[in-house]
Amino acid sequence: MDVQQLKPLLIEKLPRLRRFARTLTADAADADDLVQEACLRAIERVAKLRRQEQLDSWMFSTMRNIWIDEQRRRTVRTGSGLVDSQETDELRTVSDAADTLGARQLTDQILGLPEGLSSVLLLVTVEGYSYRETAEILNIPIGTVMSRMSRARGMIAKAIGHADQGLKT
Amino acid sequence: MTSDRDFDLQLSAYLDGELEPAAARALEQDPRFADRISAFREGDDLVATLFADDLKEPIPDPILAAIDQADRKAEAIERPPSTPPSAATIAQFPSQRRPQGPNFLRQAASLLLAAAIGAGAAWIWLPPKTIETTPGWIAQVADYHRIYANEVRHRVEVPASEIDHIRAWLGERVGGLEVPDLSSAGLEFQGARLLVANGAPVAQLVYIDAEDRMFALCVTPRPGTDDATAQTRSFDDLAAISWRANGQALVMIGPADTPELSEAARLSGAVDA
Repeated sequence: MDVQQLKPLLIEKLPRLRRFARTLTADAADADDLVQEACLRAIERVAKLRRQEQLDSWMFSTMRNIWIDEQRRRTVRTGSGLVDSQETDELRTVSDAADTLGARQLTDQILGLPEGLSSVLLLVTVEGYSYRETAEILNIPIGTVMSRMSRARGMIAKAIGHADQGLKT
Repeated sequence: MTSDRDFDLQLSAYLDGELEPAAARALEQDPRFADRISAFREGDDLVATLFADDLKEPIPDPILAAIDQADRKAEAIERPPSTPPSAATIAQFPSQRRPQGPNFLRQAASLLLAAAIGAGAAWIWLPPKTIETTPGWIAQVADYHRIYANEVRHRVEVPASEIDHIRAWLGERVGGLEVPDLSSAGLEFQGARLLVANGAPVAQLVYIDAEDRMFALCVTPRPGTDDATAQTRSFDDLAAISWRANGQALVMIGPADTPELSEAARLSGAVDA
């Protein structure tokens, strides 16, 4: 593959790349920076990208690596610790959880999944990777993929359940 | 009985096709199975809808410009460079970067971008494709296909001679079923069987071509947004063309690099196959 073949492929994938980037970063601007950096890296290393079919997983994996590096750089600079995936069964409340939960607030709750869960959810249920492939992309154990999928689904089921109850009152 | 937490772990793996068959069968017998899988599936559908919405956002121009500039920079490097590669090759986020490269490259890229945007920017913005929800089911169907393609006597469960029964039986399982006539694509209907993928029923309609190679149209219920636009995936030696219609997800699957596959998908209702 050469640069001229790679460029339209990257542009075509941009919506999916941005979507994945947002599951890594909390911030939309960081996500766009991450995508841009990964695309530039792909272009620089085009000679190493042997097969088009592997480009997606290579891009996801590269974004993950760049983001880890960036988080470390920020930790060093600001002295704040890295935020780990919270071991809680509760969603982060992005908006105030009112007594009656409308669809919008349910969406916010789902988007408020703790770090690490939404990436796994996206790669497995939407991008269609196996647990093993997801583990390789995110560089985490397969058991962690499995437990994060289960936790994510449990939290979402609970949020939907609360939303249903809220609408009934 | 296993704890709720362990049950959820297994059920989640079951939904993703990651639970071995013996454990899967045991799980299906658990009294918690029906309600919990329904709740998980509802959550999966909602998540898929939210993630699909993400794709609709327009791409910011700076990303497109950066790709375009990098393209030129990479080409410039391939020729003997008059200036050395810039600091942009260092992995730092753009917001923290020093200015990249000679001014004329950025200006040329901006002019090109402005002209393209003025011209409607068709070459920059490719409309996002609808991403199929839970594509894992297609991988499972591909696995089944590979195994059944080697069968001769037991290629189907119910033969083509019982086509009315097939329509009624599998139609009831998957929410309606047509058996398309694919003879103009050179495919002859052989019969059908019922598969399972991600805990949901899949109708498998089996066809063969003149060389006795197996093709199949597989149909599974999938409420949500229909999109008849074909999505193509490859699984080593097999190719799969999928789309959604009438509250179902459909896939035409067969040997890779066969023109009959696209034609068969079009005859079955896929668009742009």
